[in-house]
Amino acid sequence: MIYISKINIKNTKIKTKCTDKLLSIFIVIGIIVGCSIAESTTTTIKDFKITVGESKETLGNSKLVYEVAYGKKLSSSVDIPSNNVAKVVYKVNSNDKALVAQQASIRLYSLDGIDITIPMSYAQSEYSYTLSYKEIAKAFKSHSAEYTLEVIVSDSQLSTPIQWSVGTIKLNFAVQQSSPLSRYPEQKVISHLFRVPEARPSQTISTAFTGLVLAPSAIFVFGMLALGFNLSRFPTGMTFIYCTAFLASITAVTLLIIQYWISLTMVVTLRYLAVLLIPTLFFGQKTLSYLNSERPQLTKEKTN
Amino acid sequence: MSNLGFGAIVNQFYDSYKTKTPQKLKFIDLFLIYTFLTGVFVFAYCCAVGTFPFNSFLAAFISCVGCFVLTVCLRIQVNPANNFKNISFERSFADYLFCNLILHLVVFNFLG
Repeated sequence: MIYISKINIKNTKIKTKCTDKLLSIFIVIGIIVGCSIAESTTTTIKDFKITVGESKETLGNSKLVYEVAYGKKLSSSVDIPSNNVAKVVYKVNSNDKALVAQQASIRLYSLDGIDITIPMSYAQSEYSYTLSYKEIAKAFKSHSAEYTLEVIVSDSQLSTPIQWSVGTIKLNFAVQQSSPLSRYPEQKVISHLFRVPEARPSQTISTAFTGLVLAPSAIFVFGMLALGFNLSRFPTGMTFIYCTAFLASITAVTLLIIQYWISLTMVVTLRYLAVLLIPTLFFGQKTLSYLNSERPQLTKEKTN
Repeated sequence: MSNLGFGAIVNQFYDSYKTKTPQKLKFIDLFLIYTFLTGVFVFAYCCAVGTFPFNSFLAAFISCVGCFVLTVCLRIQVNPANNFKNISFERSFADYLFCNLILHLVVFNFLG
């Protein structure tokens, strides 16, 4: 009807401009013939189905197939989970022969005012469109809602274009896709395979061995107490400072090595160590030479 | 001598050690026992439970063995019975400290 009316309008315009009456007669005949052809054909949609799958590659194996006969409605709403794809397929037959319609599309509209018409692609006597969230996100403004699905087919051969409301589909856009600023396409989540961790002993065994390894230090401490400290030769005066500084330097070197274990690198550690060794050597030389000189002559003779 | 039992030998050894060994060497011996026992327990853990984490086991064991060897060296040098006339106790101790520093840099490198 749309096409015919268009032709009519065009023809009236032509009529007014054209002075040649013969030409106008031909046009009128053409319209009448066209109308008679259009009215005599019966056009139907066949094999309408919606297939829902995880990806385009797996659509062929998908079991989620919704089929509906022409003129009827889908019994329930087709839910398309986010990041899945759906393929809409149908055939247009005119007098039981495949018709290559001039216009074949699907229309999706929601109550919120989104109204999108998508043209179908024709191949092997059927029309198809694969609906992927990635491609339609921008047009649908990533608006998750229930959309009414309509099939629209029109051709100059049809007296009335087909406008068939198939049913409703639910589109669930993923949250990430709602960001129009996203520059890169969404990638699949990479699942890494990690090595299976080594078998660990139970907490009890670990604790027991920690205690066992630390136990000799208790023997050492108690042994020291049993043997008795002899701090009588601990220097006094200036040498006391040297001795204390020497002990402090050794402690600092120990702490540096622990710090190396925790965070530092070998190069940095060696640099700090070089700096620390200067006072250690200095105070060490002072302390040890003092102790050597102060040692009782008898012992010294025994030792040397 | 043949009449002496095992207990008597141990007692004699203990008395001799107690009276004749200098205090300094007793301390060194105590430290040797400490490192030896720690090494034994670390090795026992490795045999009984497992080598994981192997680098930590290596670090602990090398530390024990290294310390033990260095301390034995110190003891040999410090012992008046041995003839280390040119090396004083202080010199030996300084060497011991320096070697320990290098040893533990390696050990902590293994520790991971």
